Amino acid sequence: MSGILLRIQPPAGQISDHKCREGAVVIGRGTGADVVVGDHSMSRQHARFAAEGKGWVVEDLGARNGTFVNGVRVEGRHLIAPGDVVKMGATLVRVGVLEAELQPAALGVSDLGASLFRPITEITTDLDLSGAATRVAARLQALNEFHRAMAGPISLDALLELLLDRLFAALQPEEGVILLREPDGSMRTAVSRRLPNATGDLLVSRRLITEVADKGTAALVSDIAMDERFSGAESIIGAGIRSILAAPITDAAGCVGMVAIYSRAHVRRFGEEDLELLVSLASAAALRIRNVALAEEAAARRVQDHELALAHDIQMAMLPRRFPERPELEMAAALIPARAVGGDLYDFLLEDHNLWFIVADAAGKGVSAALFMAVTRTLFRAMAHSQATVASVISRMNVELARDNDQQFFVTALVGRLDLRSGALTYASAGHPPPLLASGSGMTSAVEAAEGGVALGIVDDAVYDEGRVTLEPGDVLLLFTDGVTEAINGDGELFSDARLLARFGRSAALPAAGLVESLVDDVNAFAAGVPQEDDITILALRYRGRH
Amino acid sequence: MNIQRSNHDGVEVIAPSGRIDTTTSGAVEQALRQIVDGGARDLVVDFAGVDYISSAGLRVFLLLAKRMRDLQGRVVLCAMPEPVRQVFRLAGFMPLFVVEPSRDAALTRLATQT
Repeated sequence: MSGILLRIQPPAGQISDHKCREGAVVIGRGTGADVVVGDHSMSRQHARFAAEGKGWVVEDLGARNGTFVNGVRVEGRHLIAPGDVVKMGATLVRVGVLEAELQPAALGVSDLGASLFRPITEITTDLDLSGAATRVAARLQALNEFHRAMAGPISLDALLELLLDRLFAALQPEEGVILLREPDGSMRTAVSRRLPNATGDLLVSRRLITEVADKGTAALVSDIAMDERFSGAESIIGAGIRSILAAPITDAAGCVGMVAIYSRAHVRRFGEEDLELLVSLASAAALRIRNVALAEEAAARRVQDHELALAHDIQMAMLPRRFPERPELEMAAALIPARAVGGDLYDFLLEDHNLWFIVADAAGKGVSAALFMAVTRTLFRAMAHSQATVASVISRMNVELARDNDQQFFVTALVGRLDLRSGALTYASAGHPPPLLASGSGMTSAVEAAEGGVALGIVDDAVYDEGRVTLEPGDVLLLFTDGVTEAINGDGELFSDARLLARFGRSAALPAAGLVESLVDDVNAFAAGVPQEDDITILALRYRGRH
Repeated sequence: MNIQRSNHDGVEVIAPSGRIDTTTSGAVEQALRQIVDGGARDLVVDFAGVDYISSAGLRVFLLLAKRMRDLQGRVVLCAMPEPVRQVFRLAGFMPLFVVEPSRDAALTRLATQT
């Protein structure tokens, strides 16, 4: 008596194989059965398969929905033979020869789900190693190893190289290529490989991409000269490639790429079994590729975020946090970048009785603006000193910033010098909004702008005029960048110069820190959650007079 | 942001509309570069449809003016709404450009100065 193989196919879930060598086995949905199947239309103990004489019988155990052999309902016991199909509820049980599992013919692609993970040794040790069987074993091994290698941590590049490794080992192509789909939908060659004897350019045919990746179909072209799908694709034929295998790399969310291997037909002509292996390997890879790619992207983003956070800290550290403790003076400032790093700047230097200050705004946002801002600060610190005039400081900064400025970055700046003994303020503007002034009596106005010069960095011989005004004790000077006046609300209205002037007048009597805070609050309340478009800087300076 | 383009007797007229700020200035810069790469040497930029321009937007037109100078081409800006004109003026950039009040005036200017 020879054993039988019962291939059990429930309405949902995994196909499973059950080997029967002798005795009997009861199949049903109850836990008392020898083989339990998750099928509600089955009875708890539905039917028994038993060895009898030289053959096997199936016996219906009084199942409510009956047992059918090849469509005929079984009354009592019924002889069965390999090839029969037994229907139990919604479950099909196919009867096979036990040894059949060792034959290559049993490994059609539809059966791979059940065959995939069977230990290779089970096949390779008992087998008469005919050529075909050896090839099948090698392919199963390729799949098995691929799965095992992918189970551990692996980078995207390593994963793709591994896939090519396995393909070259199992299918011996001359060339192989894996394309991945970019976020914009285009296909990018991720890895490729060719044997040393392959000639010509490595080939990625647009036609093949359309057929495989766009239409989601696997392609087997055993002889391209005979295949009308490629009748116009002269690049493929011209490259001397005659046999092509290609498969989409597809997961539940769609096509992530494709893999193709090529051979000249007189060397190797691919067949259907080869295609099945390629499809299996590509499907196995697909499950990991998207996850690995997403993980690598996330890791790169984390590095970038970390770098930006560092840059933010460095930039903020450039801004003075402590203001001069002088009886003549009270200062406060706030700078709120719209992104991690920004192009706004405030700074000051105290030399004897002279306070130099700058508020500046580099064009644009982000890293380029931040670098330009850092250079501007360095130039200000290098050039503002007691012998210099305001006009010479701003002119020299301009010359330096305009040098080799092919990208036309520019920075608007207001540079001033306040003589703490007299309240004499000298200032110059390079394309920057004029400061506002609140007198001790509560009157506010824009400081009469000197003839505004051009923003720094554009015209290397630009001339800057100085403006002069004398601060009275109690006067408050307010410097800002246009991120304040151009903050917008949900209706698209600007905060505006007029609104800033009004709010400044209302809060001018507050201590400098309180004044800055209240103006920042005003801008935030106005914007009411509309994302900040530009960096916001406010610097307030109260002159107390000489003590 | 939308950029319209037309040709008037060999003069390329570019009319952006909407906001030209950090978000959109890249697209405007690219469009202008393509037009200049395509061989245009007489350009009019019509600002009639522009609601707002930021410093990043200004930079795009500085780059354009510099490039046209290098290529010995000509560019005229025109029809600037007051808020746009303010931004150019405040940054001190008005003297760097040829500016006309209307598209017709800009085309006339390029036609007469040949």
